Amino acid sequence: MTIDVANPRYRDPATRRYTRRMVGVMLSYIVLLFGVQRGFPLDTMHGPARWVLAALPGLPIAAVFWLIGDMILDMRDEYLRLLEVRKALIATGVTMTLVSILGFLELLGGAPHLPLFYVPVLWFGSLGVGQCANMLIERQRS
Amino acid sequence: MINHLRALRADRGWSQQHLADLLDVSRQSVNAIETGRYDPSLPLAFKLAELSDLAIEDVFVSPSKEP
Repeated sequence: MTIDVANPRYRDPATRRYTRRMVGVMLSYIVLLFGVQRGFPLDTMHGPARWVLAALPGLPIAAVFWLIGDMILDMRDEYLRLLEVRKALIATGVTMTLVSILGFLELLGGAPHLPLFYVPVLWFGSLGVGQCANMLIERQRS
Repeated sequence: MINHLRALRADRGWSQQHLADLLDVSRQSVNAIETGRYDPSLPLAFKLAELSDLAIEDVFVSPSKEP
């Protein structure tokens, strides 16, 4: 996540830490995803062992949310922190709006089922909407 | 909140980047404060005033005293 494109000289230590941790988390995601898919006969497995294995690749994705929260709490630059908070709130609002509507489309409108896996994907995509909103809001105020 | 940051910088010959380095914040933050888009926290406002050897009310105008 890019924080301060306008000032390449300033890099909040929290964002540096976030980037470092993010690389580790993404690597563990790849290892877990391919390890579980290729290392275990999930199709023929049943019960808790399969559930645990199937849930494992979701843990690094969950960790990303913790990393973002941790970064926001640790950021020293309070204005950039405000921008990050607003971006995350907008992403949450956009995601919740879309999944609420999609949920009723599925229930009442005969729309095909969207796997829950896509909810975090949608949220990450919505961060882009939040970033655009930040730019527009800040431009409007200046 | 109205402030005198631009004049204060001009008096001292500080660029936004220089002030940002002194405050250990981004230039974006200095710009946002200067243009009134963002009101700094009390600790940051005090740091700004102390760096300039001014009282906080000489840098920031109280909303109750704004014209």
